Amino acid sequence: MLTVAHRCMGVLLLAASLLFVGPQTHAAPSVQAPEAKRFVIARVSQNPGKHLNQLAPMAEYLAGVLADEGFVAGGVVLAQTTDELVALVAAGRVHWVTETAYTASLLVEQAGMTIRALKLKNGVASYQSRVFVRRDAGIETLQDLAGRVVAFEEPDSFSGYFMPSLMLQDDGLSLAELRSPRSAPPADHVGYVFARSELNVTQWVHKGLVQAGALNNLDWNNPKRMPLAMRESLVVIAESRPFPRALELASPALSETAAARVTEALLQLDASRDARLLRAYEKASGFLPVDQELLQTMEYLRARLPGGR
Amino acid sequence: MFGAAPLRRQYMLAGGLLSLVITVAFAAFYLTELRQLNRQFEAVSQAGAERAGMRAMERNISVLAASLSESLTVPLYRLDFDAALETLEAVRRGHDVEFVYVLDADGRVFHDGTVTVETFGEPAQAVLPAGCDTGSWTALAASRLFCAGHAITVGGQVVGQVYVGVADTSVASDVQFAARQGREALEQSWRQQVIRLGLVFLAGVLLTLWLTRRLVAVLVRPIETLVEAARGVTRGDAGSQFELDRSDEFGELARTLQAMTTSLRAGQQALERSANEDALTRIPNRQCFEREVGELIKQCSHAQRSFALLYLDLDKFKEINDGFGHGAGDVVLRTVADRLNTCLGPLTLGDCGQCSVDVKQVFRIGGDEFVLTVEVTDASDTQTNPCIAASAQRIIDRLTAPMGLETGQQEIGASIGVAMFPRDGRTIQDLMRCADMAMYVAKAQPNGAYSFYDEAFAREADRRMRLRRELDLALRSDALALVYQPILDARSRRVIGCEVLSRWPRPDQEPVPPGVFVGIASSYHLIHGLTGWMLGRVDRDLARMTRRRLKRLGMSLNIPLAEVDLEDTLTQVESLRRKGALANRRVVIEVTESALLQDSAEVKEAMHRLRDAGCEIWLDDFGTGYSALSYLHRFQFDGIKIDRQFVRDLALTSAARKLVRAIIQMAKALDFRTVAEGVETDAQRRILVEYGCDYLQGFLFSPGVSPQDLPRVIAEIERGDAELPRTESVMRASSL
Repeated sequence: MLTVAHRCMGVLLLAASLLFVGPQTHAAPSVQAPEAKRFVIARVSQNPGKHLNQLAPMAEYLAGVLADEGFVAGGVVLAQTTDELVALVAAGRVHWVTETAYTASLLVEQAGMTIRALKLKNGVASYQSRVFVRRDAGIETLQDLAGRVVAFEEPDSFSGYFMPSLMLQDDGLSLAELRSPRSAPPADHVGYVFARSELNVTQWVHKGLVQAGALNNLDWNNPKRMPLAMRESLVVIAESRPFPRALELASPALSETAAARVTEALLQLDASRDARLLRAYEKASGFLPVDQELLQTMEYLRARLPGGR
Repeated sequence: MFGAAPLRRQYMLAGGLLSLVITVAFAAFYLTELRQLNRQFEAVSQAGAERAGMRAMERNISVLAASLSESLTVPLYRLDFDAALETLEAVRRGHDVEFVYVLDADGRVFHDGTVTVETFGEPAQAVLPAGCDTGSWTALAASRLFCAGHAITVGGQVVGQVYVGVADTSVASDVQFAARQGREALEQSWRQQVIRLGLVFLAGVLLTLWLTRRLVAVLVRPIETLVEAARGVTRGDAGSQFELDRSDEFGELARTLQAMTTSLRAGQQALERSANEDALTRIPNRQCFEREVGELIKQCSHAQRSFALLYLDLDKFKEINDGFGHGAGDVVLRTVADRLNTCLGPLTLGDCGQCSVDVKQVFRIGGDEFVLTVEVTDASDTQTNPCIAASAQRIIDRLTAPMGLETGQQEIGASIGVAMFPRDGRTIQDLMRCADMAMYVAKAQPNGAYSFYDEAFAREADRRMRLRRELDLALRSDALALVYQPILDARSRRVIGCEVLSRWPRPDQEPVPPGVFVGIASSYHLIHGLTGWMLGRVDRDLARMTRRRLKRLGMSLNIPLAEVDLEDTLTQVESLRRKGALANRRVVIEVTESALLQDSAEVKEAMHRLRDAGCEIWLDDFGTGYSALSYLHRFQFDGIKIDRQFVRDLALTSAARKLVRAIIQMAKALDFRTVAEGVETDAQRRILVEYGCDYLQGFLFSPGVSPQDLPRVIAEIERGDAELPRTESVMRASSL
């Protein structure tokens, strides 16, 4: 049965590809109508080509799961922004979304989606943001950063911007965005700049262009983003609570039964048996059911949502 | 090396070697030059490649720096290490870059292309190699470095700089690679050129060899033609001619050779002629005789024919030659030859009317010896001697006609011995021996005669041979004997000496007359032995004559000076004269005219020595022979002996008396003594005494007697008892 499914997947993958022949670019996001019997997975993407290939196999698979409900094929929809995704979900054109915790909280809040499972990426279920400084900078707490500049990754980064900025705000500090790392922040504010990449964050802190930087724990341990030679002269001064790496959400367009069946199907996937399908699905290595801690974290996030951001 | 090879092969070898050497030399020279050129080209092209490589690199790096300045503008502006690293890593991956530095507006390092950017913030001077400037080469310790820099601008404002450095080693490796490829291409080209040159070289050698072959053929052909002609000449081909229709040296050589050959042929013909022809008489000589007669024998044997060999010897030719000189002899011989030539050819002889003979050839085989061959052509029986005899007589008649010499008309006789083939012999030697014997017989007859060989001649010859052997044996065994015939003083009848005479008494056999055995001794060269024996015997005989009368008795010895070994004989005589039997007595040496005929200096000298030894020299047998009066003048004599034939005729003819008287008177006038031999009658004695002959010898007084009888005989003579002829049988003393 599995082999039959795999064989069908190839055909459906082809169909999915054809589906996005026209409006698959970033500038013209395709909002494909969820034509009857097409199981659509969506997410926000700045890299449609990559994500299309990543999501299509799972879309086909899940369409198969729900075949008895009339789904005949899988489909992928990639939104340019979170707002767009929300709109798509609201329009009922999306059945399933796989996203970060931040976007997931927005979708729950604004589009009525429900969190169905937690996705392990590379075996990791959760991560946390870290704020670091040069060891020789004499900075020990977040409070020491007032009147100084911190480097974030980029505006869309949950662990590289949203989370650390929440950490600073939770610590009672006010943030002020600067145009350049060399710009001076207001005296009682923590100035911040976007360094555009994890390595740049590291470099800027290491080279003294800024006084602090923020990366998640995964990046901190990645030599490409944090070369070991440089890490030695850096030190972490603050760490956030853990956040799930990725979440699986069901659209209101999907019946509760169907959503439960999809959730069950995902949870049933075996890391070794379905490695190929999982690996294609954004390097997933398995799924975990929603627990209490996750719900609290999501509540934490929902409370701090900037209202549309 | 070239000695045994024909000229053509030598030339070919020399030409081939020469061409090979020249071609190899040219090839070697060309290859060396080509090699040199290749090396130069390689060096130049490597240098060029190096320069071009440098230029290309300069351009590349300059362009790279410019390009980097463009792509680094935004990263520098944004301080985007990540983007800068990505760009610079790409540069470092794609180029053999030694260093790359991105400087900010203050000239401090923003990025150095590494992940950690350790040099961040350092001033340019601290990181850039000394002397590194835009578009320049900077010498470093190990290599040279090319620096290219470019400004990074935004809106015309310089916000930074980028510097890229590349070591020339990278270029060098490129150049080396290019050079290696170039070298390989050159090597390949070199190999191809060597092969091409080898082919050209081979073709050249083959062409040269072919040309050499043609040239050698052209050069050698005339020589070969001449060689072939020379071989023909050597073989004796009469038609062989040195002919080359050329005007060059070969033509000249051919003409010269032809002239030489012509001359040689003429000379050869002359030689052949002289080899086969008698130079004096121009008739075939002995060599020709042997060949021709040999051929005739062969022909006649084959055809079973017969021919006669006529052996002709002139009579008294020796006397003419000696008497009138060799010039006269030559004239005689030439005349004889001419006359014999007229006898040649077929002719019919009238005597019997049916003899048809052919005188084939005439040869001169010795001094005065000629041979003629005669065939009887139309008579079945060639043994019919009359025909041959007639032709022999005809030849004798022709020759005996007087011939004119400078000294006047001279008659000459000839004797002919005839031998018949095959009856008398089948070889030249046999025929000549038979003819010789026949001729000997003919010679014994007076005034020219011919004689056919008879077997009796052979018997006579055998007898003579036997006698020769016996005589030889007798001499060796002292079997001969000497007798002494007294010589008297004509007036006082006193015996003044004896003539010593040889005798050959043979026990139980008839004695051999002295004339016969002396002749045999003369014929078979036993005279010297006989003379030596005589002198030795005289010495012994006289040693036993101890009576005073005999010791003083004179001795007359017959020594034929022309036939003995003079030195030996004279030494013997001188020895006897000095201390032997001949010492202290009168010694007379009797010499015959024949000994003087040759007028030899040796004989003259011998006579001087005998005279010096105290001997008298008497001329024996005067009046016979030629009796040339010139002898009396030319040789010094002490006396002459009047021959017995004059003495015999004294009492019979007045002519003899006149002659003897004239001889005696002439001798007296010349102050010679005279002795008459063969005196047998008292009448003869009286006449001789009357004429004034000094000494007498003969049977009237005594024959030769043994030494033992000599004293008695002398005594009887001097008493007058010996006036009557002896009845005892004694041999008449002859010349010896």
